[in-house]
Amino acid sequence: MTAGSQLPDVDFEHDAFVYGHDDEYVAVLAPLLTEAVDRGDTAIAAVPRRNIDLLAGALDGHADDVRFIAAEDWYRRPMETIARYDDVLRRLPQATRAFVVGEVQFGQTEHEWHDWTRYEAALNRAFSHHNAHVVCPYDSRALPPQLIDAAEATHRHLVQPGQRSPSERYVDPAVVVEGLPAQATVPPGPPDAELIVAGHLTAARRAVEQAAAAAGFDSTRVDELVLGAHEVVSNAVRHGGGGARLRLWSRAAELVCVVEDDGDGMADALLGYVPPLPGSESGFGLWLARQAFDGCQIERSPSGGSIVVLVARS
Amino acid sequence: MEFLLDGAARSDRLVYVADRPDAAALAGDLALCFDVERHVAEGSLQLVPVHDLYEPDGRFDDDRQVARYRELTARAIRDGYAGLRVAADATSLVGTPEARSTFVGYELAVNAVMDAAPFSALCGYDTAVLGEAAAMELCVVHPQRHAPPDLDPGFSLFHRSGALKLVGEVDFANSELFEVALSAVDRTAHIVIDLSDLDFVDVRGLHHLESLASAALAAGGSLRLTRARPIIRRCCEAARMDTLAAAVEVGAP
Repeated sequence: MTAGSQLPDVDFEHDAFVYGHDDEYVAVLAPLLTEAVDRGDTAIAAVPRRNIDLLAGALDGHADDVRFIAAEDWYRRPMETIARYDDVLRRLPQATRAFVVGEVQFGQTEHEWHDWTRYEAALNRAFSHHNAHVVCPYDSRALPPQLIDAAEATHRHLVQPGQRSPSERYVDPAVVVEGLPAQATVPPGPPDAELIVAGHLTAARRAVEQAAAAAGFDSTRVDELVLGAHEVVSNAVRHGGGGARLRLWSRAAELVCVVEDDGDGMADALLGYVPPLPGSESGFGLWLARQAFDGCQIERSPSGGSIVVLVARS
Repeated sequence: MEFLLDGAARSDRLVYVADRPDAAALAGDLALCFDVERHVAEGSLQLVPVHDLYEPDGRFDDDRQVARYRELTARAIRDGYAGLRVAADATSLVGTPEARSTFVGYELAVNAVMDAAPFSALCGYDTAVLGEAAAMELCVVHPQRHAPPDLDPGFSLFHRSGALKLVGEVDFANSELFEVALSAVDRTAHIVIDLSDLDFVDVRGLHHLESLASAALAAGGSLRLTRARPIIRRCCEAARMDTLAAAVEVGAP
């Protein structure tokens, strides 16, 4: 299947459902799940355990046809969640549709809120080739107003009891991502290691390996970080004017890699958020980097090239 | 020279092969270190012009050559030697891309014979004649090489203990060489590649392996990647290389 071809009715819908009451939650979601099952859709509900009980109770015989996933386990790292959803959605039988209730767990800190807001925005691009309808419940009793607000920007439709309407305040995902604070910034002070990379990447990989090990990451994570950093440095060397500058900061349980090139810059704020299509041969270095690292921020350098800041925390 | 002297010390039968018109000219190459007359007379040293040994009827046939060496090794053992040791300058056999491609396949296959029998060889390639890129293509299927550091391909692919072994690092810098090396692998076989000494492979390298996996399945063979580090399976999954992910066996650290 080539990137441009789509089944006639491939359609991705992404709705937000703000609720303030258990009754409301069940009254809206249980019928939607029941209808999905009756249509022959694959029905999935990734919701907190407490809500699994609420929904299962209301679904009677249909509960067995819904795949329940505990949201506490599912929403751990945004990029991991995108990958896992993509794995489920790409394995749907041909010409079937998925109906997903996905209740994002936003965490306790502003940093996490921004991470998951980026996730919500990115879904609009990342799953655009999947035949799926995703409804995201937002608990107004528990979530801060800024997240309820952001939901209107990151979802094309809003669901309320008896009503589904377009979100007037929906905004292109790239704009949402660009409007949020940086995921990672270049640390102050001198780096622990710095090198110019021009041809072979062996020295760069060794340097990342040493820095990651020094920061206390285990060998499997070190391998992941070396691969992720390699892909970013590779891109910089191959597309970024022929050379790249790599700087590394290594702290207890934290590694920061900054890769700077002299190319034309990366225009798309969503690079690396979209899973590669099976069979595609290139263009997903940043996807790998975002999988390996906890934060990946792309900035424009004064000379017009790219600065990629990668941060990993154990 | 050292290679042959070492072989003599091990009681191997020695064969020296190069592009010279006759045995006398070949003898001249070795005269400084060897009592060539004596060794030839007693049968412990054979001198063969390269085209006589490799292209006896004007063309190179890799299967025939592999069989020939197997036969020569067996004969050496029957005659009381520990094994066969060959020093061959094969520069003149690999002048064209087609000849080189066939030769890489041959080298990989004859390496399998060496894995199983007391047959060792030193292959010489003159980069001044062949160019560096061509020489590196031939380098990769040799477990050990003596070359200046800037001509090091970064990886090698060869037979060891009945399986193929991929050693070193594969990334975009040597990706094309890697593709050439893999093209020499017999797709109709049940291919096993031991990855325990593969220190790094990037997505591009994995793509070449996935192509090999698909080609093998289509040709009635199969591919298994054994003793892999977990990152390799992780990378296949992240890159959605489903065929290859299924072929990866993660080994104990």
